[in-house]
Amino acid sequence: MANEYYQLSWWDLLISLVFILMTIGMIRFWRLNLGGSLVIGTIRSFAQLTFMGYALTFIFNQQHWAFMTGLLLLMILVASYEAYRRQQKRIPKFFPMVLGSLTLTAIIILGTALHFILDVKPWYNPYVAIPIAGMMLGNAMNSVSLTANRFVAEMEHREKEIETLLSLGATPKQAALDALRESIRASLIPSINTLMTVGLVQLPGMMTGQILAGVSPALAVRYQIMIMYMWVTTATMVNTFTLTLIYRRYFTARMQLRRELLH
Amino acid sequence: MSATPLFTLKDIHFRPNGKPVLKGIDLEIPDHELVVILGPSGSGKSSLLRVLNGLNLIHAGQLHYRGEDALELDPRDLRRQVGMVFQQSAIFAGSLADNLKVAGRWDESIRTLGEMRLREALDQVGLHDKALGDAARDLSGGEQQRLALARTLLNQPQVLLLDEVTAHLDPGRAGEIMNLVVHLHQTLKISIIAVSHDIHLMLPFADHLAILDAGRIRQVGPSHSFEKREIEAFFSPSSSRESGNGQ
Repeated sequence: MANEYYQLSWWDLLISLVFILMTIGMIRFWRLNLGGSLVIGTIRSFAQLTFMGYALTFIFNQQHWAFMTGLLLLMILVASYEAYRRQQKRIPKFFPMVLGSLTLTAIIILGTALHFILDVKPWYNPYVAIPIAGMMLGNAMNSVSLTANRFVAEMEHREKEIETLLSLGATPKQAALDALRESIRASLIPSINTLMTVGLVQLPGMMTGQILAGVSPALAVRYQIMIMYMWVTTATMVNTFTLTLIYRRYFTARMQLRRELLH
Repeated sequence: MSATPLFTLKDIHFRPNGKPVLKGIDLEIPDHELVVILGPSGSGKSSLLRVLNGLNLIHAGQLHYRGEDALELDPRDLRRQVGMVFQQSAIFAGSLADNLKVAGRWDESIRTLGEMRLREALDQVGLHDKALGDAARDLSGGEQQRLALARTLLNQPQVLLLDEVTAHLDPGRAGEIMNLVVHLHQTLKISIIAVSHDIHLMLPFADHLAILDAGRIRQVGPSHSFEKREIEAFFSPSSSRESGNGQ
């Protein structure tokens, strides 16, 4: 029945340690020497998530637009830094470029989702804004870091092609277009594949979480569909903004490829 | 007749990542000639050619193209007028026609070229037995260089830069390519600047010669003014390159 959910007490949680005990048993069977790490991981996950639970309780009680704006900016900052940290090769000015792209994407996507689709009032209602923003930014962060790495690899791989096109009179954008297109295409394929198979192969975590918390499956499904559409657009948008800024860094004002960035 | 040189280089320096590659090049390249720049590996030949096409940044010095400051020209216009064929040309996936029309991505005049004109372009470089629909990447190394040459010529350049275009070919194929280059030079009336390390292949074709060594021009002039032994001395391991007096 909708709106009814099963409580999980601290005692119940303690019993769930039986899963860890089972894993320790299997680790011993395989003589994996991972028991210590598993115990530390178990304690850390408990401590971190318990802390996060109290932090979220505090945050969810803050009903103020300035607080929510600050929190969103902090989340964008952390996501941008994490995307920057994951770069395999240095891209000049990557951090501010991702920061700008993520901020713009967040304004467009969150604005659309909170105002036009969910009609959340006030928009900064943390019970809606934080989970939606978290899912959007997490997805954007993963996508933009993979796409930026892919773009650098494409530029390296296509160096000869790019210089040939430049030598024939192409602008930097025309010369880099194949690398840009291939990077965006590669970033879109996993999202499109997920759209194809969702509900058939796997049930998404957010939806199962909502159902477990007592939300009716029909409503949980509608949320999930919206989130998935949001993900595809977020990834395409943040990658478009970021790559549009990045590719220019690989050329001089005289339309020369900066080969030193590729080797 | 105007005596304006094709290119005038004054104290050109090129230092990628701070490493000096071209160390003050002073050179006048005459127009309407087949100019060969000879130099051993690592002497800076390709870098010099890329400077002329505007693909390399100049860190110091002045470059004039037909009397005009090359840095004042739109790089795209300069590159269309000064075409370049690379040591290993990029051959794009797709057919020969796709490769010929690659500049059609932005250039309407190339995009709308008819099949007959493309066929002529292939014939012009000796690819008579190849069909426009053949896969370009299936061509041999020499054929790919010919295709790259045809692609560059479709831009109707006034100057053709050739960067060791015969480096990966056997002597027979290399000679064929150079004969083709001379034929194009004579029939299309375009200036040619070719760089190479192969003295024996290039000497018979050159009107004008420059010797580049360790990033500096050592000798320059009409090719008949050179003694072959004199040139060979620059390529011998015992030559004192860095301490030699540039001429």
